[in-house]
Amino acid sequence: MASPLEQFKIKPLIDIQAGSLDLSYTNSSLFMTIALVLGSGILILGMSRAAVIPGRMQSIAELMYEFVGNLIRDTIGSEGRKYFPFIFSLFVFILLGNMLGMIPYAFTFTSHIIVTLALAMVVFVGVTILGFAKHGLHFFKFFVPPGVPGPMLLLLVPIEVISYLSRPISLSVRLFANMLAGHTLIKVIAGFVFGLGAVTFAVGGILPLALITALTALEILIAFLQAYVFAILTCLYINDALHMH
Amino acid sequence: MPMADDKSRKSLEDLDSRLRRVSDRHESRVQGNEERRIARSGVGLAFRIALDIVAGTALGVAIGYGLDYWLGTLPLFLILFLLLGFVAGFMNVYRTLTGQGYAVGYQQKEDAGDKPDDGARGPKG
Repeated sequence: MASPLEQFKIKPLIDIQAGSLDLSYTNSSLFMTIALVLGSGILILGMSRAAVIPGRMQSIAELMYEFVGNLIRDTIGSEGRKYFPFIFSLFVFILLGNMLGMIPYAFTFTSHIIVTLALAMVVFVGVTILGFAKHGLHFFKFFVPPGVPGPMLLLLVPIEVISYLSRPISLSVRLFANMLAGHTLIKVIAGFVFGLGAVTFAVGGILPLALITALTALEILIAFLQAYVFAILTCLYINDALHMH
Repeated sequence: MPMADDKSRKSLEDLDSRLRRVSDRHESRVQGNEERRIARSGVGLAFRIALDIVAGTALGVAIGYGLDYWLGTLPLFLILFLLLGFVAGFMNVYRTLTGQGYAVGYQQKEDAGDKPDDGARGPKG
């Protein structure tokens, strides 16, 4: 039987070599392209005939817009409007990546740390630049707790810096680990359906099958939740950089 | 056609009132309540705490080992930054549990209590 981890294997579909760089178009790239086209398609098609009473497509587009809009308003406030396009694109891309992964035989590109780390680094570098642009060198005050005697700063500043630098790691690992663990778990339990079913004349397969059904529902919830968490953390980081305490 | 016009206006008015009701209900709901529930739910919280500690420690090790590799002082900075990273991880956990939420960087505690709107800011509050 196939290994539970085989679903995460990157397979090159079109080989592209640029010097020593392997720029092959892989199954991961394919699903990123699908997510991109699907996301743009829903929004463009949905809003092409903007009606007062929305149709199905328009409802989806409006729901997503409202959802992210409210999220930004609640976390950053009205200043956050400027960052709406970025957060919205990020949210839709991750959400579609997670959801596409729930389709059987599909590839989940968010289950690869390199993808999520790249997304998290974009957020992290962007937020840091934003902080320096808004506050200049005052941004370094971020790392200096007020009212602490001098010698203690020697200890506390490195801790604060490490804590700040660990943001992209926890941000990316959260998404990647959730997707990886969920998909692996489903695959492992799916293996039990066959394994137990084969020795007990299919009776033993019922329980794991029921379990997979429940886990799939849970996994869909997690797929949404993780996209949401990524978006809300991005909002909170931007909020931190805008209004330093 | 006055009849049809009247009818469509009536239905639009009806829609308007229904929309207003929905949006009122939406506004009155305590904002961020649900977000906090999700963020604080048992497994989610446990996962976050574990992740915070691991991320901090891993980064400390990476920085320490990098410095040692560069300066050729092997166990010195590795041990130092391992400890600092571990503390940083716990610092993040402490922030999570004292209600400073996802915010990183130093925040005055009284600050969070003073501002009444802080509670409405999702998991941070």
